[in-house]
Amino acid sequence: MKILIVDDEKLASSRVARILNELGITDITISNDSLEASEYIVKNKYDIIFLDIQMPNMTGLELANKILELEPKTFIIFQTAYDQYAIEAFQSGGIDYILKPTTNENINNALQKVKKFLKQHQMRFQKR
Amino acid sequence: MEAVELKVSNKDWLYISIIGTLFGFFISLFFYFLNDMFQNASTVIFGTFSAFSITLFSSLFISISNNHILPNLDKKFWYIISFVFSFLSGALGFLFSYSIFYIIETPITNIIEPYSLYLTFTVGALTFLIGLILHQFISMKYKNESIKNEILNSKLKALENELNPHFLFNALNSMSELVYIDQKKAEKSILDLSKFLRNAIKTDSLIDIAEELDMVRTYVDIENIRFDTKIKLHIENKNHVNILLPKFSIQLLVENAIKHGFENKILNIYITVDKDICVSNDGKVTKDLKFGTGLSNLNNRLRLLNVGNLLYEDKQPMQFRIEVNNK
Repeated sequence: MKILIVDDEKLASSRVARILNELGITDITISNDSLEASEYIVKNKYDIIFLDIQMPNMTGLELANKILELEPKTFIIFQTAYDQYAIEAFQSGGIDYILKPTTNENINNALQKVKKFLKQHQMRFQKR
Repeated sequence: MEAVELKVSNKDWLYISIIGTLFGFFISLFFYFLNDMFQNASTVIFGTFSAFSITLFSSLFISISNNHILPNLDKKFWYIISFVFSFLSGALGFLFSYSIFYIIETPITNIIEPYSLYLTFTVGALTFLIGLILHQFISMKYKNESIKNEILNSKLKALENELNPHFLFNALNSMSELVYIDQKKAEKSILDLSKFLRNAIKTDSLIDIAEELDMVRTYVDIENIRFDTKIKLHIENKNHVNILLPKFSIQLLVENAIKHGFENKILNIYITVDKDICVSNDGKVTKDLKFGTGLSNLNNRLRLLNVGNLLYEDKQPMQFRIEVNNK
């Protein structure tokens, strides 16, 4: 599972990376700049992208639109301290919305959501 | 013009009716003693009833005007309509009373019958003048009430905005991670946050400049955990007189500078305290700046506490000025 974490705060991004490591995920890329991240997504394919919302240069919501235009199958998990963007975030195609402070539990839940989604889609595909 | 659209409460109408009726009673009593021909009970009853009738007509006309006519008319016609209606309240109120007393044939109506038309006009004009005085009176009362409400709302908003919860959650998120990386630094940041929160829960609305600046330093220290010490604070205090400020006023301007000015590189924030207080930064410049909730709230608090005004100076770098009243 290939993961990209985009957050302008180094500690916030390294926190998500550390929790993912503890959950056994190691293929992780970190970007602390949304413009840099928008270059990464052109060159690489990621299964899951963790996105902060309030970032200088380009917001997480703008970046999500760009990501899903390029690769609609990518799962986007938003993580932010603001609760007011939840509706917009889900409308932008996010699969989950994590409120900071980020915990092992809410990252694990978000990953379970991704797994469940994939499983349901596989079952539908097999039925057809 | 806005004062015309005042709604008179039922309680106010009760007072106006009582005062108006008493006014009519004493005026008629005045006429009763003025001349022998008026020394009849019908003079006093007629005068009192007329005054009561005028207040009833006023109540009716003002209710109709406020609820059905003024909302459908351009504001420039409001005063004219109100003048006409107050005149009509007096004239028709008097005519109504006069008609009743005329039908039952009282001595007073026999005396005033030749002048009834002039009297109707005069009472109409008097009602208009009294209405004008009452209008001023009630509008003053409403103005006072609205000022009180504004103070209350501002205080509530101020409390709501004193501490941005997002800042708190972001700081806690960073601190949770710092614990794994640098325990000493994590400890310091927790102590900084506790110092900041202790100041935040203080009940004083006004604090002195030194205390506010100390709080700003602590705030920037906390934010620097998140922003990798890229926020550089430069404070120059040229003022030797103590200035009292609403709590979190400079902090809010610094928070604003970080929120809108930070571009993931070094952000210099300059605070200069002289006769006024200037907060500027060399980060991203916001074009067509509008005062949002936080800045409007600060400006309201500055005005309500009679400290000064918040001004935005449209130049580079971004600069806000707290113009202090008592320099």
